[in-house]
Amino acid sequence: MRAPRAAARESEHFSLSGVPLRTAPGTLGDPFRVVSLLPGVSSPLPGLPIYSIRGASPGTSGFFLDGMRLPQLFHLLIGGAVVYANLVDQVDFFPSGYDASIGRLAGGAISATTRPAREDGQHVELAVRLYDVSGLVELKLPHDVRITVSGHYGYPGPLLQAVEDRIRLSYWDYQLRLDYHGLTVQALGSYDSLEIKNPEGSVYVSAQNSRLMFHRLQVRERLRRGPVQVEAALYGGYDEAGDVAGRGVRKLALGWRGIVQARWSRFKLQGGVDGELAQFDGQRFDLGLRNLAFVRDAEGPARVSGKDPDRTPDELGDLGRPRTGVTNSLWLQGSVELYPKRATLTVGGRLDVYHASGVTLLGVDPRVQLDLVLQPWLRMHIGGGVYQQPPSFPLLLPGIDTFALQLGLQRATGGSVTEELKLPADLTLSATGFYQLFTNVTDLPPLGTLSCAPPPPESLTGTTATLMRVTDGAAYGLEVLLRRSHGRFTGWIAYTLGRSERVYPCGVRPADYDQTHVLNVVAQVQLPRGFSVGARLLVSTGRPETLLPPSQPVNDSMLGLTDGSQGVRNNIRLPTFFQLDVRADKTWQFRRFYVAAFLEVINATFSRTNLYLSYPAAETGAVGGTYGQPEVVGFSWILPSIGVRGGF
Amino acid sequence: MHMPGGAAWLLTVLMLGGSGCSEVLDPDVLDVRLLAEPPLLTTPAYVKGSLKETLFMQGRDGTPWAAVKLKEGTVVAMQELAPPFTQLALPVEHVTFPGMPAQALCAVFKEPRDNRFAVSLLGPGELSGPRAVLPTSPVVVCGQRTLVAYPSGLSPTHLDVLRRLPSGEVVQLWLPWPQGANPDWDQGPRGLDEDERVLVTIDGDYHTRLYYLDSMEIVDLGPVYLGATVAGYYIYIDFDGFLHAFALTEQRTLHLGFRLSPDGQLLGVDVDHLAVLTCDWDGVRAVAIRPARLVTKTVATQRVLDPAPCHAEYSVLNPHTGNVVYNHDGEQWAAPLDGTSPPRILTRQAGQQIFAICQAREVAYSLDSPERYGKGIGDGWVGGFRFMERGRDARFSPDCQHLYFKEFAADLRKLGELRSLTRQPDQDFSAAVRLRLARNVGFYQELPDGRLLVAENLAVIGAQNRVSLIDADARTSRVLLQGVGAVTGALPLGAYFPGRHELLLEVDTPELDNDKYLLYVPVPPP
Repeated sequence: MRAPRAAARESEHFSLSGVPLRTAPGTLGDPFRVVSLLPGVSSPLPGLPIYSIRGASPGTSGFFLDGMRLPQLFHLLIGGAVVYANLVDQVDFFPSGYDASIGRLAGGAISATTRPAREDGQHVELAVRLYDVSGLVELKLPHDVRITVSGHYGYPGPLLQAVEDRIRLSYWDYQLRLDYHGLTVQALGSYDSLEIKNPEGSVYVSAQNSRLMFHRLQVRERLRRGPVQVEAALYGGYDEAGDVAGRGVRKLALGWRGIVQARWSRFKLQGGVDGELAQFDGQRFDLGLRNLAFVRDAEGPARVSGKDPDRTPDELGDLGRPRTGVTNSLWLQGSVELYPKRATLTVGGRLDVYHASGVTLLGVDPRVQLDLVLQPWLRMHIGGGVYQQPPSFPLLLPGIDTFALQLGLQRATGGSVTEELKLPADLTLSATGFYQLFTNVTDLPPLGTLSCAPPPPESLTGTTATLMRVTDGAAYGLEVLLRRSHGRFTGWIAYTLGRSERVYPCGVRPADYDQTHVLNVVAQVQLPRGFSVGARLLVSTGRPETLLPPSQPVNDSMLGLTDGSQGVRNNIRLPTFFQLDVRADKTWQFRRFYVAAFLEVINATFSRTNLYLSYPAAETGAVGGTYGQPEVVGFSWILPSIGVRGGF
Repeated sequence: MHMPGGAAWLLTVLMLGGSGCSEVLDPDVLDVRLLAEPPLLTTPAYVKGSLKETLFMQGRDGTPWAAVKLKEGTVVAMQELAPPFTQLALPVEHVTFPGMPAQALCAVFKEPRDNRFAVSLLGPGELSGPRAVLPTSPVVVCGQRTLVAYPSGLSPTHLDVLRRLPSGEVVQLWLPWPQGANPDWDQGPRGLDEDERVLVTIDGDYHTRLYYLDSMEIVDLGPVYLGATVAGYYIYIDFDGFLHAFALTEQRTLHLGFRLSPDGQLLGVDVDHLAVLTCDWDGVRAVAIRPARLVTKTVATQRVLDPAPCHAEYSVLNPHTGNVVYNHDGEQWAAPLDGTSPPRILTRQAGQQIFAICQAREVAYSLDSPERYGKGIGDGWVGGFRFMERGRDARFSPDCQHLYFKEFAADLRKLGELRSLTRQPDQDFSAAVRLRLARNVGFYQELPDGRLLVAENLAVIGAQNRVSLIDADARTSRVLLQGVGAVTGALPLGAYFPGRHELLLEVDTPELDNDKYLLYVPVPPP
């Protein structure tokens, strides 16, 4: 019996598979980076793989690989995806309005599936780039046992140090997959280490550095009996995030997952359970965050001068507190064809329970989907519901989840309406309108100045309180995608007109990662003799920033403390960002093996990534300092990548 | 096979019925209720100054005053703390404060015409008074009613003394300079006795000389290693370690017949039993202040409270409770001063840090060493009961019925969750009621009325920082001040003037100018 594919989802989503996953320009050949080219996705810090999906906080997105949730998809800085590209079979992108099978998220989801080793014999592929080497081995053994082994090893030091000799970066990852009929055993892991030394004569206490790591081991069984399809999985995981000295937060987890799907003539029923039992602990670690002005302002001189992390375990607060975290979920949904092959209604819901540090949260998320085939060339999809998740760190990092449950669940309520037209010449045009109402979501405080920042939650402590703010808000917009998936000329034009707002103490203002216009044009042409060329153009509105009145004194009261309700927030925008990426591939196909070479230049226009607005005159801490002469903190960059790949 | 169609619609109804609710089943809440009231005080009166430089004074009519050194001690702001709230500014060269509540302060002025200096003993509200003139900037010994001064940088010939008589009149005396005394070697006038009748001085031969200010008599006690005036005696140790008491009124030396080893120390004087408490290799002893029974100096009238060796660190005499608490091999012990019962142990073996001691009955201590999280931080124990995992600032209420502490406070900013244990009389702390009072707490202090003054919500510097009044018994919290965070001290007026609820709140402003401010805070009665 063949193992069935994973249960199909009823949601509207963007799906990519095959060669385009590995050769799309602007992705460095990493399948997951394709997400950054899609409608509804904005990169508030251009060049860095931090995505805001339909106006939600980056920390509310979720990454899944073969059903396992991963804490990170990419290595740091120029490192690519944490999974070997040719192992990835398909990437599905669910921006919002998805069905009940995806849960514990208030934002979008990126779900990837890997493939087993091919059935037609043994295969080996090796790839060498300027800064890493990677490879894939596929073995077909007797009794239909198939094994894949793959991974990356990065050596970006020389390349990075040619640009900036204060940076030290290393990374690696591995993947192992064994398939036997419907049974799949997988092991994978990833490691990153980054250190940015302080400049000569710096007054800062510590360098900016971090070390990230995760490992997963999963056993999964899938089978089908008549109309019933079942998937069951058990996995274990170890996550770690900290500093290069090895201090940090750690998570040891055991998870389970079960999905049952049954299909009748006009009705389909799906249900599942998934959960996790995790043990967290942590030591205070120092990422050098206090080099940032907003952290220094928020925490005061006592912490800035602190040098001894081992003796102050409570500095991290809720993030580092030893705890046992339990999550358990039950979801159920039914789809009925209201009108055969024309109208399908899916109704479902999730029940999620979370427990940690003596607090238990319960979430009930109803979901509904309606799929209408109005004409053979016109399809319409409506989806929506309630999407809830526990408090999340504003950036996804390994070992940081199931904490601060006392804040309650983050909630996104809303949905989307999509119309899709099939056009001549294999073109499809889709337009999507979306609206999401955010309640109790966690964001970062503003990076440049704490003006009009929501107060930290009273129940949080330590660094957790410094870095998390709870707000309400909304996001709405329109996405248009014109796509050609087949033929010599492929690509798409994705345009998003969006608005993401938050309720700050000084009123409703654009969210920190709101970008009104995001245009991605991706084009790729297959040329004779194994050549292909492609380009990607990104034009996006700069994210909002706060320009304070230049004459405003730093401390205008005896205690220098104001509640921000009279202040301003996000009243200007950083400059519009343009980025052009180009890529050329050449494949030589021989009888028994092939060789491929590629050249890609990311940000060939050497555009500047603008991070935030800084006020050097106000950061001295001196009385009488003002917010005059602001500076945009950022850097111009270009990332060339050249490599060869060969195999059989 | 047919799926029952109704099941889908039942599912729909169930899910929509839930309609996206979320519930916190076990909320993480405090045990006190924050009263939804605006801050009790919005614009407190303040001056730039610190509690260390502040004095509560008592006028002759009993009116409380506050005196604060300003501008590096060159101005003294005097504020009457009762109607008509008189405010005065006293420009000085420098000023010396006696203990609180003070009846006077010792001001030094510089005469602008001839660059000479003058000293004056001023009561609250007084800007001038009789002065003694000195050629250079004077060194001052300041009592409540007595000022002793001599010029610095010269070889003094005499001591200038100003004394305020009960009638309020200030008289001036001249006393001879202790022969050969060199102030640079800690010689010269050292202090006054409790009644300010006797001035203790040390001369150039390290002889202690007592100057009787009323009679102008001088008594030479000979070489003295260490001494202090207590309960009408000048208790001292000579250079051979022998213990003596000089009766100030009778002018008679009592050789107590006891000799301390070089490592031995005095813990204090048991005034009720007129005994000196010693802590030495031969245990804890109460040496009676009476003449030795035999001629030999080594036979004292003494009571051995505990024969086990005593270590002076963490050892205290608590005369109000009739107990002495002392350290023996790292453990805290207590013994009754009257010897009516054997010593009892207060801490567990291997106790590493002592956090607080209450009435010689209870000791809050830690088994964690100071090297683990830092000095003053660790787990917390009372007897054999572990009340704290990793905290700091454990303190008892004066009646020992409450124990307050900051949990999870191994943090550079010294913040933690303020908790309390409240027990019934004769109940053990292990059976006490545990309350979580406030989060992210920095400074806290129990006020004379039993309420807690707490600087809380300090995780991040900002307008959300507040100072609250927490009534642990009523389980309520009221915001006293909003936007005030870096509280470093509080001086309640009620500690010196019963019935008064105001306090001076010391606020540090590192984010502003690194200076300290004193806020005058009227606290509403309970």
